[in-house]
Amino acid sequence: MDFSYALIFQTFNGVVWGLIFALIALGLSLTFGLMNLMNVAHASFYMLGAVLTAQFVTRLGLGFWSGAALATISVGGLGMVVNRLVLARVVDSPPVIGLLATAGLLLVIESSTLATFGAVPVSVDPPVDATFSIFGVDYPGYRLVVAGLAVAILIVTFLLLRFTRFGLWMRAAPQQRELALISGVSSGRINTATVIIGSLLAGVAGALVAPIAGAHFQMGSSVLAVAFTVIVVGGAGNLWGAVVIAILLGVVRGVAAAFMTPSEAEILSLVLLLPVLLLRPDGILAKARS
Amino acid sequence: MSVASPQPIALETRDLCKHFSGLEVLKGVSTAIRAGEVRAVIGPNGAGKTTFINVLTGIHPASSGRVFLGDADVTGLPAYRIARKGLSRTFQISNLFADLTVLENAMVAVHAGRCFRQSRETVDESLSLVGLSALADRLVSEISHGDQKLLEVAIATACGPDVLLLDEPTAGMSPSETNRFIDLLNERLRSRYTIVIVEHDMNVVMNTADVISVLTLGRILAEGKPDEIRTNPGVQEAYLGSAYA
Amino acid sequence: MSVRTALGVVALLVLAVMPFVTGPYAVFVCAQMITLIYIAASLQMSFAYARILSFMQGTFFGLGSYVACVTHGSGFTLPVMLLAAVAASGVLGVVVGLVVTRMKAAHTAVICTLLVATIVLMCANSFVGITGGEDGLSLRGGSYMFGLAVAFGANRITYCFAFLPLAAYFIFVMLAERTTFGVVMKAVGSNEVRAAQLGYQVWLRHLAVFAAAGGMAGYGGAMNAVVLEHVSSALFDPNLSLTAVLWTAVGGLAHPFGALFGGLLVFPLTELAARAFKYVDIVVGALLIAAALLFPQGIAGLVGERRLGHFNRRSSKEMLAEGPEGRSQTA
Ligand SMILES: Nc1ncnc2c1ncn2[C@@H]1O[C@H](COP(=O)(O)OP(=O)(O)O)[C@@H](O)[C@H]1O
Ligand SMILES: [Mg+2]
Repeated sequence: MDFSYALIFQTFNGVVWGLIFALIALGLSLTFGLMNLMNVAHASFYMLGAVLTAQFVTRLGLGFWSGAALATISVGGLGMVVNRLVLARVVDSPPVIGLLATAGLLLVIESSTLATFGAVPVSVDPPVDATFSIFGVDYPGYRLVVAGLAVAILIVTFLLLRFTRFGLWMRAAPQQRELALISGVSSGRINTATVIIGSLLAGVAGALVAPIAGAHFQMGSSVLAVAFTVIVVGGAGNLWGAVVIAILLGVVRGVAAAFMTPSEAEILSLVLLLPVLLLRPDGILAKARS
Repeated sequence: MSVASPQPIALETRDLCKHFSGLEVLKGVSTAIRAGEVRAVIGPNGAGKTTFINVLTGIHPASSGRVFLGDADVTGLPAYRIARKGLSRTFQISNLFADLTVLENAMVAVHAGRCFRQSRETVDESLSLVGLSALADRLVSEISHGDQKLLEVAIATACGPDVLLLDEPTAGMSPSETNRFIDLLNERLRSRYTIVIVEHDMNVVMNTADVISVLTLGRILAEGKPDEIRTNPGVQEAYLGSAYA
Repeated sequence: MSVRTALGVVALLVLAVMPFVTGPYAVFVCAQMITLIYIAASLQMSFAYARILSFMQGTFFGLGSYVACVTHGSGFTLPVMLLAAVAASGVLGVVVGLVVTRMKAAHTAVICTLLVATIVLMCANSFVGITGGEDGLSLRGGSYMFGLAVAFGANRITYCFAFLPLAAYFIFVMLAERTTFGVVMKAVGSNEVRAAQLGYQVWLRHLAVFAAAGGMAGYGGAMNAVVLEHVSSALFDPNLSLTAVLWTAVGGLAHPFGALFGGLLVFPLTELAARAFKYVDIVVGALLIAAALLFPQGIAGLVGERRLGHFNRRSSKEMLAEGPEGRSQTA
């Protein structure tokens, strides 16, 4: 009884975390797929989303939702600035250059955050106190709200890419850069939009996580490798592959956490990805190449 | 070639197929090339000529069918093992060691080769074969496009192959460079190697080939002596007609 | 002699005389810097000769440190400690290399190394009983080398142990640069499709390079443990690998001396900055961005092959672009 309770609880947790990973990975996959840029600094957008939310709520006394919204928008704005200053300049360079520049950005953003807000983790009270009883398990209502919101955001992003002209351009740009340019689409504008959407996704993921895991200047590093691995295993440039793998990873971690300590479960879930990388180095969902 | 007893077969494909996730590029190519022969493969853009070479050399594994190099079945072997069995190629878009000098490119190729006589002379020979000795100390990225194509040929021969696959060697060359290339092929390469040359320039094809294979849409449409191909109405319609209309 | 070679020789000479003309503090700082240069040099080796921009060289370094510490604790002498460190990180290099050298796309390999580094860091932090966690473990006393006593900490003897193999590596690279061996290494590292079509078994060569780079970083780690007399799980922090990436980027990724130049320039700079300014990583990050945007070919690339009166005009982007793009097929 006790064990199945833990199993169900942890599985729910896994789904929630999986959806959060999915938000982060989708943003990363966008910049990777559309700009061919491995944006290491993406992790710091996520971290900033959480830290700013925590600061807005605890220092400025904003309500959680307005704090989270403001934080997300700030991260989007930062994304725009960073794109103008750094990303746009490396986007057509060899991959190594982009990697170096964004790794530098990660360091700058992380340590500026440390310098400004300090190293003490800040916790945030969830805006929803209620617990819901599902399958006989009392589950925190806020996490269900997070799951619902994450799904909604994923769907909105999907619709945006699918049905707007901008989305069409964004999807066309990486395949046919020249063609897109000829047809009068500025690749600079597409890149800007991509980076803004990507950073908004990371920012909102961080904002939503703040009441669950708190906010700390180093929290980005812990998701960096996970998010990157997820997009590779999902198939580089395959946005929805990344989302699926992210959710799966969360579930595996959740289920494993019923059997072992959380950090062991985290290690296990990552170790499980290694054979996948070995057997399908181009991604589990990549079309089978003959 | 009017030889009494026919030469042994140097390279053979049997029903070779290649598809890239649904896109069928080669749909059953069967042909046999005799030792010492110069075989031209012609066909419109996108016919699958480069893919044919890539499958022969093992860059892309064949989807089905077999490749024989002499008597040996090399189907499915990794590229480096096929190369060591004596099959060498040039690239349509020159694919060299760009941060090395011309001489160093040749050194790398000679070192890879099957002949273990890796003296400085072998390296020099391979460069003088194509007339690049004067540029030996230049970086590859600093030499002209035509010279890069010649260096492609030099390093493809320097590793000591039996069969040489040339993928559009004269593409991008000036007319005089092209004529010099025809001489190079006829005077120096023909006697040493079995050659498969993919070419668009009919002048080159008609002046070098013993046998021509016409590849369209992944199939061999016709195969024969240059004169036969020139007068083949099917070829004129399908290939010459569409490409040069 | 090219400017780059001359600079390299000067750098090595400076490092060689350092312990004999300066005080203990300078020896300590330099010895530490030298052990860290192993990470940068091994990263450069992995990138230039195996086309893997490894984000886990710090992991090899950390493993080497711990293995040295554990073997010392089990009563083994210095040669065994060093050999065991090299062997362990070399074996890890083979294991990870088996995965990453098979990867077609360059980014996949980067991510795989990052993943392994993250996993190892998590393990080091969760198995505190073995690793001592962030507090770490100490190496006490000293050891023996063929009957000769070697005191731990920064001193002239440990400095030599740290410096000499590194110097030997750089001298070897310098001498081998124009030989068939050196040229072939460069070729197989820079264009694997072409190399394979000539008959080189590219995959095995890349694996060997990656494993050797791992062993090299492991040696640096072991010497770091000996010099600092301490190891901790912080050694596995990806930031250490990132530091190495920075050094190599500033020094130049395309040439082995890049690691040397980068280390000699950036390490003292960050040490000085750290005295004036607490959040030195801001400086480090800004430097990394500047390096990527302004001089991506690094110092070694800037001075390049330049000889007196001869200027190398190739752009850095060209040099770096030759890497992963070499994998793509012709149309
Ligand atoms: N690696 C590949 N992946 C997918 N399609 C390919 C690949 N290589 C070639 N093709 C396709 O195969 C067809 C034939 O190409 P190719 O062999 O280069 O033609 P040719 O050399 O005769 O001009 C083209 O439609 C091309 O798009
Ligand atoms: Mg072609």
